[in-house]
Amino acid sequence: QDLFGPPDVAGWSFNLGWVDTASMLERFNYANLFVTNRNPNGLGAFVTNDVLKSYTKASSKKTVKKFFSVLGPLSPGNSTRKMLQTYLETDDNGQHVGFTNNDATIDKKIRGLVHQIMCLPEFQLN
Amino acid sequence: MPINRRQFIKRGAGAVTVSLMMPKLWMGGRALGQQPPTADRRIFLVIQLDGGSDGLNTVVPFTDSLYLSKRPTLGFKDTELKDPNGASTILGNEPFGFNPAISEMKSLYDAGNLAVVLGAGYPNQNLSHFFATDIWQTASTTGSGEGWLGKYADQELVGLSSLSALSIGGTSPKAFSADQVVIPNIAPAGGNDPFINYQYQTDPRNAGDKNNQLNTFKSTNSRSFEADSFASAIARAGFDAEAGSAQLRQAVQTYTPGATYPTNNQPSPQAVQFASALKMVAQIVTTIPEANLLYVRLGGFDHHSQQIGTADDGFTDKTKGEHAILLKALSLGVSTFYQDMAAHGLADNVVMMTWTEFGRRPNENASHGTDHGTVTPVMIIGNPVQGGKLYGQQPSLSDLDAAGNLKFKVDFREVYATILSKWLNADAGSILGSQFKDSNVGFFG
Repeated sequence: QDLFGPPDVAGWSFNLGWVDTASMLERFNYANLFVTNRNPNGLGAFVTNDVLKSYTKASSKKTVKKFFSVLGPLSPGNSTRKMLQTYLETDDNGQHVGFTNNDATIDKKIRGLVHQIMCLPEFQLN
Repeated sequence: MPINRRQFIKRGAGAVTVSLMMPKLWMGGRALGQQPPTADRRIFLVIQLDGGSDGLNTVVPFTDSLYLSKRPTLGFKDTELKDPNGASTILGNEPFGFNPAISEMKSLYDAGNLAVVLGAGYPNQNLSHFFATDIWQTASTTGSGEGWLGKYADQELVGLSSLSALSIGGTSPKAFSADQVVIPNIAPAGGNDPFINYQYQTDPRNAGDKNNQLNTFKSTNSRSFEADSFASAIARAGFDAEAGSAQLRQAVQTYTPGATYPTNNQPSPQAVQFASALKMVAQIVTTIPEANLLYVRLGGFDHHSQQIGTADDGFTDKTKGEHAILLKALSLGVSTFYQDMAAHGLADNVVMMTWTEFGRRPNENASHGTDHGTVTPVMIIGNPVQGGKLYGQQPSLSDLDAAGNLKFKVDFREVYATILSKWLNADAGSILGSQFKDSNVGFFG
């Protein structure tokens, strides 16, 4: 959504006026663009591994809770936290492999976690 | 020290370019392929002409001497109602002719596939773009409430495929605003694949993780939220966006064009852009058999100045200029889309309707333009239409309202009612109000 390019001269609508499937998809994809851009010297927003590493904890539970705090604070509830923990603990083959706090996990799974949190309705409303 | 979301984003954020490389994403599900048309399929395509198109210079009342006296520079004489090949654009024995820029639509009229409803408007017309647009979109003179097709969707599309209705454009039209369903809107991307941005994107560097991301997204956005809460609406829209985009992207890959759409900025960038949107509609309706309610827009009709001509001719050549460019874009797009539908065996299944929020004032202004007016012709196009005829009534140029504008002759909601009851088999009275329950302008018989 272009802040200075509303749909008509009345400006952006209130409340759910800004919610449709196209705008939601664009918001999700904007979040992905932001969180997967690693290049500090290129165009656009970026997130470095060092920033992500500073909030990553030893366990998946504490890591999700930390990012709920950093990106909010958000309180989506335990069931949502567990869904995101499961994401952190699942490999490319869909197998549960647990959580390891290392550089490879941070560059892959923590970036994915941030994207997933940014796609939560609670984040969109925060 | 705790940091908040804003600080987190600020720590790494420079200027943002959303047009960076977008990853491709595997899409699951069944390939629909191109479907054979069914005899009872009824597709309805709305074409919004944004900005208030000049009706008097679209369907020209060339025999009315008042028309030329009010439009000494902009008005078409009968001798000027000819397309570039010299063929007349006068509508048979009628006292009207089409603007030469819509010669393709004249052919559709001559073939009996295009009907014109003259004099469409409503009581106490509003001359503000956004208010008048809201009025036409909601079918309410207050401009408030759900969209008229959203109300139809609430009655007829609940529980059906999320791709039953779709709009193409920057934002979802208010006409599609509904209570019970979320109608997807697709923002076209430039390039060879206009649907490329319409997918849930994940990290291109970790393609192996995409299914995990998709599964997590679907789980978190299909949770139960308090009924009618913002969170519920946002989760539903988000979930539907992903599901719809996956189904749609897979289906449209099987499309083969049945007509040649304009390319390479010819005859104009506007024509190419509009045709691209119509081609997307063709991709959708030929590959997704449940997609029957579509919406596209052509913008820029607010011609307060230099409506005709170019600097080379001192803005006097009626066959050139901004209005002619947009009308040509409309006409070429509609005719190409019609041909494409015919090639796919769907010509008997498609009805199109053009509308604009208002016409222009009868008197031209001093800038070779026209200002906001009132009534406007509505075009209804397609094989099911009893075309080659004029419906409604042209308002008199000698009986204007107190502000010098045309008085409406047909309530635009009678046009909607005719489409709802005669084409979409819906209850026009419950959607538009009981006074329109039995309205029939006549273009379906």
